[in-house]
Amino acid sequence: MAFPEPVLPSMSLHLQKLRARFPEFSLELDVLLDRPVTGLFGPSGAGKTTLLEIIAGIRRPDSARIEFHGRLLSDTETGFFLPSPLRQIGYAPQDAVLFPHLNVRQNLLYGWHSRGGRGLPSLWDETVEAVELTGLVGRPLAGLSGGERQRVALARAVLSSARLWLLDEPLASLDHPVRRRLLDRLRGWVDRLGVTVIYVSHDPAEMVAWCDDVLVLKAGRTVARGIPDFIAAHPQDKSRLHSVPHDRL
Amino acid sequence: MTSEDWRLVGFTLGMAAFSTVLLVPPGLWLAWRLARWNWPGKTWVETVIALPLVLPPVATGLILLKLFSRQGWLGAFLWEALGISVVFTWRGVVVALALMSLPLFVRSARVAFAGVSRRHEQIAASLGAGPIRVFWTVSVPLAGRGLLAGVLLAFARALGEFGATVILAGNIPGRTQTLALAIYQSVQMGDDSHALRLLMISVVLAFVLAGTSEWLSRSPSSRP
Repeated sequence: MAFPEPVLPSMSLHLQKLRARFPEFSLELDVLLDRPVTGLFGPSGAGKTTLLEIIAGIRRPDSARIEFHGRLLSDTETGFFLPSPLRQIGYAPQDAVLFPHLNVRQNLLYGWHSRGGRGLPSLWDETVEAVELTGLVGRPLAGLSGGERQRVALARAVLSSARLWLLDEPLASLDHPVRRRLLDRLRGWVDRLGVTVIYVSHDPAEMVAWCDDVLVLKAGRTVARGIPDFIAAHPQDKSRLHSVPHDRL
Repeated sequence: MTSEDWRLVGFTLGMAAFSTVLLVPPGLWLAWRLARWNWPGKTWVETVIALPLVLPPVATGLILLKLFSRQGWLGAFLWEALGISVVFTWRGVVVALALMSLPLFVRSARVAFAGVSRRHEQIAASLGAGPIRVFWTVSVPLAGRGLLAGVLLAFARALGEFGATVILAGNIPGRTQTLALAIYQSVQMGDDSHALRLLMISVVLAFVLAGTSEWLSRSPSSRP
């Protein structure tokens, strides 16, 4: 199986001895994610969003040592915890969580300005065009559809000059042609910018078509790892998986 | 209304506005800390802030008098370091009004901050915004209506303050006399028509402010 090599070397995310107990489930992981795009797949309640929020520094695990490209984000043994704003992360949550008092443009630029960016980021034009928000940038949030809100959240993360994008079902409300087009654009940016992406989706075809690695979670634990295992585990999706590029199968 | 009445109204509004401007920054910070963090001594601080609400205002005034007189440690410091006297001056009026209004503002602001979704603040932080930027660009705007209602409530409370002011600043016409103090003096002197005139002004001001504060504290959808 041949994977396209990224233009820039990817960064690695190392989650060591991660343990987090919650009333509904407990998360237990020990993985090194060293591909540009890692898909997180699994049923609802498997711990995918919780894992993203632990990486983003929004939730604290009971124990873990988390490193991103050699930079320590958290180490419960020594009590080290890098605050969320310093983690260089662009998080697009599943429920978008846009800032209701800001218009679309201000939402899009929130992360960019928070990280000291002036004016517009270099990716501005192509990002706004790719997420099809060109005519909406001056508008208030009121009246945006669910899909438009998700696209704003996705573009906000992309434009935040982060090194690690955490994308939690960012395209769930969009129809297939738009999703495909957006994923192609995202892939281009990932390879060009050398960013690392953790991508959550419930769509197996998306996992295979877009991700370089897949982590399948169930009840907080890894039950499968890697694209070949993933394809083998989803024979029922074979017809849909045939629509992905041949070099990925 | 006589020119003296207008001057009195202007002085009272000015003192109330100045005291509100002074109390808002520490009040915002306190309300934010109380709404968002648990820290040792939090209950103690909450109790101290609430004291002016439950203590007789003259008792609060007496505490302030002890603190700000030239024998009190704050008053002695201000006099020796800056040559500033607070007792029986307009500064005393401002201090008394600010302290008596602070608990009302902190309570309103605390409720307003508690109503702001933590999720918005967390996502803002994950996008690189430090705590100060999150506070000013997310928490304050989202709590805006409640904060404004708190400001109006504090301002309205300051307009009507009597007990602490009369002890700390006295009731000196033209220097420290506010609307409330002037009403009291007119009643004491049997000048009922003057007292009634000032009463009407107070009622109109209070009605407008309390009504606006109430309107602001409601969600837009439940407004008539």
